[in-house]
Amino acid sequence: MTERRPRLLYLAFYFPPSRASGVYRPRATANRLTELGWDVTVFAAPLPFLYDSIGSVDEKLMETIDPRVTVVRPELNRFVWQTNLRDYSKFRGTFPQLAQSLYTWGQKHVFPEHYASWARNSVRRALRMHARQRFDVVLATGNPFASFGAAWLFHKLTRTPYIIDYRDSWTLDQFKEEPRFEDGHPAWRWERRVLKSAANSLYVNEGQRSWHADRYPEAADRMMIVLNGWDVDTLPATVEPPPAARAEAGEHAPRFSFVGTITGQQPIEEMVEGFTRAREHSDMSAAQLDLYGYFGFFRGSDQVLRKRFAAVDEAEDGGSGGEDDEPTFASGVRYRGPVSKTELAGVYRDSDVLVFLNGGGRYVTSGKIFEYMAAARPIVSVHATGSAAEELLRDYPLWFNPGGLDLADIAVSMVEAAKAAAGLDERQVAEARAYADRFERTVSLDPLVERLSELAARRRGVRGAHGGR
Amino acid sequence: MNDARAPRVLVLAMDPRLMMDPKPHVKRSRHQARIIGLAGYFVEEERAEVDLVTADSGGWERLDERVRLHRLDKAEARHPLPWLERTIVVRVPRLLVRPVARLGRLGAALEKARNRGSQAVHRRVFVPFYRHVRPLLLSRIGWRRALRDVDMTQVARVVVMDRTSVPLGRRLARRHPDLIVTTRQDRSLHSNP
Repeated sequence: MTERRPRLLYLAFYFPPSRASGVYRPRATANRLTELGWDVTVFAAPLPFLYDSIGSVDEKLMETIDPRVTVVRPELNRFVWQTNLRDYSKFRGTFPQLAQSLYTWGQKHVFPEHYASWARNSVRRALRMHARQRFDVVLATGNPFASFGAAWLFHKLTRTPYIIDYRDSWTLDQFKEEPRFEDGHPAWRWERRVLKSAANSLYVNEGQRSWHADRYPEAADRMMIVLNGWDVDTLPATVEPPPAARAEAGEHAPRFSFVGTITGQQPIEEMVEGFTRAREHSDMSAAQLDLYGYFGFFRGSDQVLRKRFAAVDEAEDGGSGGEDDEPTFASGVRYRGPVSKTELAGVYRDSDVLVFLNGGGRYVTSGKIFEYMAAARPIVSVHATGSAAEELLRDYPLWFNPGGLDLADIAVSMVEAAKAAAGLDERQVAEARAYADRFERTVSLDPLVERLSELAARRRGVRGAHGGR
Repeated sequence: MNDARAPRVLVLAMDPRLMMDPKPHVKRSRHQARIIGLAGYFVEEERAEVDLVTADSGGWERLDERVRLHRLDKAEARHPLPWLERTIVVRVPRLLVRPVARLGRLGAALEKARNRGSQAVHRRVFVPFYRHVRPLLLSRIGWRRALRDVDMTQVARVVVMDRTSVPLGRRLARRHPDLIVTTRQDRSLHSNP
């Protein structure tokens, strides 16, 4: 008789085809555990929510999921996202005030998040699946943090151990670096409750872990750091020097690239103005800065961000505008649109320098930095000092740090990075890549895999002793 | 043949105080300015005929004069339900107290108590009840009075600006299956609902 595979229930609302920044960690975790022989069931967001409500999908990502992973999509009450009155229920259409009052009451007294109905439906579906074949362990990732609530409730009903994974903080505003909720808000009560019963809680950097350890000392000994990482299916096994190093001297215009999602928290103006200043340098007059990715995570957020780029453009030269389909925001700055994960290798290969634009401070690492390091290109930081990413970049051999957001310093760093790119040889590139190898996703996930295996083995041991299935 | 007629937009803003967002980040006046701006945009930029339906009596002075304003506040006040409440809670008690109200201090105290009682019943009993009934009531009034003269075949978009307007919007959606009825405040005639 073959031994049954360990069975994981993975509560990951944002999972492909969602293109939210938080999908890469669950995607890699589900694939990795499946590869290691786990039976993985992912509970994810319903497709109508991704396509119709937030319009945030990348269908190619779905192709990167191991076909052995079971994906279940519990229902979500899209009350706050409904804008078409044809989608309203009869009750809401007839008594809109009463429907709103009841919904608000639920937010205040049941669970303080719009995704609560998804969590409730997840528990219901999980219990049915658990009755047929038991889950050994539950992994819940937030946001949304309703997944933590679902893991907690499932644990209370079935005694199945669970781990919660903070991709983002719940009660800490990572960008303002202050509590997100006022005292007495139900989110605090829920967080304490889920942390108290969790087998472990995971954080993406030390700043985040220590903030939570201070707040919840009773759970501090079960708090772990599991860094993000870069995915092997994104980049080739070996990296060649940048185009500038391969070209004849003086024949190649430096190509700077930003890859990722542009958000409102990032210092966009500083990046564009710093680059414009860098172009005043004689070797940089033809330099290009290409932006790859989306403007914002959700439909409709791009207008505000485009305006910010346009504002810098107008301040610089009264507005330039692109001559082709790709809009030019300022001299040499072009928006090249989103690229799928499968096309990223080409973008990195053709870039000389990567611009690391990050909006957060000591609690925000940004998952993109791991991929940047693995691309083995000079990296110019454009973020305030004290970013959590600095810890990782400190030993990266091709890091150019202006030490803050001073425009002149950013420009100098960009010029120096372009010069360095032109002089890179294969050995230096290999050294940079070797440093990044320690952040390859399967390596980063090792502590989590180990812990999940321990919990599953213990659970199966207990069940075996009691003659369970 | 009248194919060249301008498209029509219906803006439903029955009660600008109760926006779709239960915790609005803008004040009522700001929201009303937004409604005026949206209606003005459709008239000016899209060359549409715009009808604005509201039960709010004031604050529409800056509305583009080409927008047809349908005010339902007077019709609402005449509706039997609020009229009956006012009669039972205010008028009848006042009539009953009136003979003794002029009899010195005792009469004055009685009138004051009557006034307080009427206000308390209105605020604590009627208003919480009426809050939930009002959208339905305004939907009926709006349907009969404001939309009677509107050629719905010309309407390209119905924009619902607050919760009180939802029943009327939903009624329109059910009657006209191809009509866009949305709470999105997009400045476009044909964007998705």
